[in-house]
Amino acid sequence: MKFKAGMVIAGRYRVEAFHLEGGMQEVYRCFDLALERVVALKTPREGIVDKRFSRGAQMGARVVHPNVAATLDYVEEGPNRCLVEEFIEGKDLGRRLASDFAFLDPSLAAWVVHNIAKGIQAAHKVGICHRDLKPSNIMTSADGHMDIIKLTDFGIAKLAEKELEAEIEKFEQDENTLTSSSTLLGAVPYLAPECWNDWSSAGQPADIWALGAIACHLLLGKPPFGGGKGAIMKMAQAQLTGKIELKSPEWFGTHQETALLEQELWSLVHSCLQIDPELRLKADEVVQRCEALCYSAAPRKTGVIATYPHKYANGGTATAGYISVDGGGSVFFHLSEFFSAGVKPKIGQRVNFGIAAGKPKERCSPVLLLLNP
Amino acid sequence: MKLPQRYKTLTKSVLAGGFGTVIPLEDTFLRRVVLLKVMQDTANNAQLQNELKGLCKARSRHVVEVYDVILNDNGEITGVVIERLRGRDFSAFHKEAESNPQLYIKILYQLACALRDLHAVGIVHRDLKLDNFKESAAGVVKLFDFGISSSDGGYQTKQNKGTLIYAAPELYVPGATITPEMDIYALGVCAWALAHPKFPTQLLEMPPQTSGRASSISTVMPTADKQADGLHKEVIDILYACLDPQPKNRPSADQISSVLARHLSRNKHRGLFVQGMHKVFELSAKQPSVTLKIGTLGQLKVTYDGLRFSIAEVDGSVSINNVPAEPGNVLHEACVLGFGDTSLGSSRQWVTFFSSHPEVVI
Repeated sequence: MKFKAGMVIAGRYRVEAFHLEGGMQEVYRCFDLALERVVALKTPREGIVDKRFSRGAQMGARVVHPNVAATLDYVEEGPNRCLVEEFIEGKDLGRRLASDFAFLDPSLAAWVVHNIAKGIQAAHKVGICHRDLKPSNIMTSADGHMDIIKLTDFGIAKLAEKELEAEIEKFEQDENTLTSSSTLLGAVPYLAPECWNDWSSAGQPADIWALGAIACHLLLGKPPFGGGKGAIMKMAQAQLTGKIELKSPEWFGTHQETALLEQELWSLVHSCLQIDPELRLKADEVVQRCEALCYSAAPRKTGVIATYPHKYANGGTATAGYISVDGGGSVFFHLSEFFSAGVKPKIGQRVNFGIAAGKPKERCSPVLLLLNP
Repeated sequence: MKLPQRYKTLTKSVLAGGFGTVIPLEDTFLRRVVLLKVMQDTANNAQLQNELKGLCKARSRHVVEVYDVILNDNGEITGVVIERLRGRDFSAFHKEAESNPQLYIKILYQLACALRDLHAVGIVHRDLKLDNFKESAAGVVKLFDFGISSSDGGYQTKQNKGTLIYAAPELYVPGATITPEMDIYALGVCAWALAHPKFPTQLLEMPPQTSGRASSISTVMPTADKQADGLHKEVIDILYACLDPQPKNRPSADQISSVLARHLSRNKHRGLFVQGMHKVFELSAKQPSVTLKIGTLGQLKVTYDGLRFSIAEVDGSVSINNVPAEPGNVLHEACVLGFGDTSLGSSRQWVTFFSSHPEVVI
């Protein structure tokens, strides 16, 4: 850690706490003494010194949109380069997928994809590509349905470029160079095929590929080619044949209410994951498709299944049960609205859910199975 | 005024703005053009402080970003560096309003959201007007001039600095207390300014509407009964209510934003009836009415009016989420319709209803 709590950087940003560590950088929660607000301060990790950090900050600063974390300041103090961004209370999507979600139900997936698409559209509109779009570069608010979704780390794409180029080169010589901590390995599942040929010439279509891969990950619970080194092999094969084969999630079609939405989302995934960059949708087209989707973006709560199945007084049972809501209260749910990729409801499972009116208890729709901590 | 080295002035020209001066600058650290706002009269610096607090306190996607402050040698704030909005302004929007009522609603929706976000943290803008909002390059409508915003709701104003036409009638009373309802009134005036080059004469009176209420926006904007995408009565009514001379009769910004949001999806909803694993029926603007009949258990007629799905007729024993259905009931996003009396136990039949619509992500 470069900074300690209490330090004041550039005479303006007082470090409150170390927030988290990304592949290339450290993030601190700071208090901006001039404007009296909490901000995120990002600085390259110890040992990574690169002029491109400022270049990246400048790229990010050009995109001002609700779905892109606002770049507020860039300061250099001694050897330290710091990017100041708006602070988003929550976790990045990569961490959410690792700790909260096995996958997302179609409505929640549509909401996340729609917001990411808007961010990409805003960037492309001013001629900026992200080029390292992946779940860990997308910030989400901590609430159940991720009310706030913002792309971040435009800077890191640029900073990572040299590292990635070097890693790709090393990998070509020796396939054993990849370690789980490598920057490349984190990017691989979302990296467009053309990036492998020539990273620096990859442009806007690479962001669209990444969006398709992320959308696929949200629905399938894993990236289109899986993770790790296996993904590289599969990607190479796909590139050779010129097409990719994707199997839609097995749970598709088991909920009538989202059957159409599932098809539309999967078709969107396909239109983004085209080997030929020319054939992919443009950001504007992705946004248009998202704007035509019918889905529910209602707020969600979280809780734990407390009763299942429901027992009638006469001894019979119903495929329904009750969830005890985090923060208090109890709600009713029915199996038909349980999104779990085939897992049966069980007492103790963590879930998130929308709430609708009901009697004697409110009822949930939809209910999404979460990972248990 | 001495600027920190990171900022380079771009032009000698100065943009007119509320009570201060607005100067475009290049931020050489981030290589972007920003705006510097300084008070013409340094005695107004307290106002600049106020503006700053307002802007920083309200994290709204419909309010400009603040980046920096310029201090003098005594550590007092003399200037604020804010986001430059590069999108369109709305001074000539009235020319296209009539042919694009949906865009008209979308602009007002975003203004209502800005006020909702400000009012939620106790800030009254106090200077909402046509010249004080603009689109960003990404097409988001944002408020930018906070010259006289007050974070103190109980502030007693001696000088009313709001532009006159936008000033609510209660501001004409000496020592008027600044309230959020005054912003709502100004939003109602913005609705006129966006729709038409001329204000109704009653709004120009001082105090406004002394001789009677100004007519509703429906006199200059197409209405839904005449034009498919025209303004619906609910929109017309809520905009009319914004201009109510009685502050307590005006809707809140939260109410306005949710009504306008609903109207951004008008005629685009999809209502789905599902029984077991089968889709029974889909309601939409194309198929706005259906009667569901299950044997002798019960019968239900549901209609879609472009905004809501509601029960038109009930026959026999039908419940919505275990509450007996009655004509006029609205079917919410997801609900279970039970057919048959509770005494039937497991012989009752169940149909689930789901509605959704395209989500508006600005």
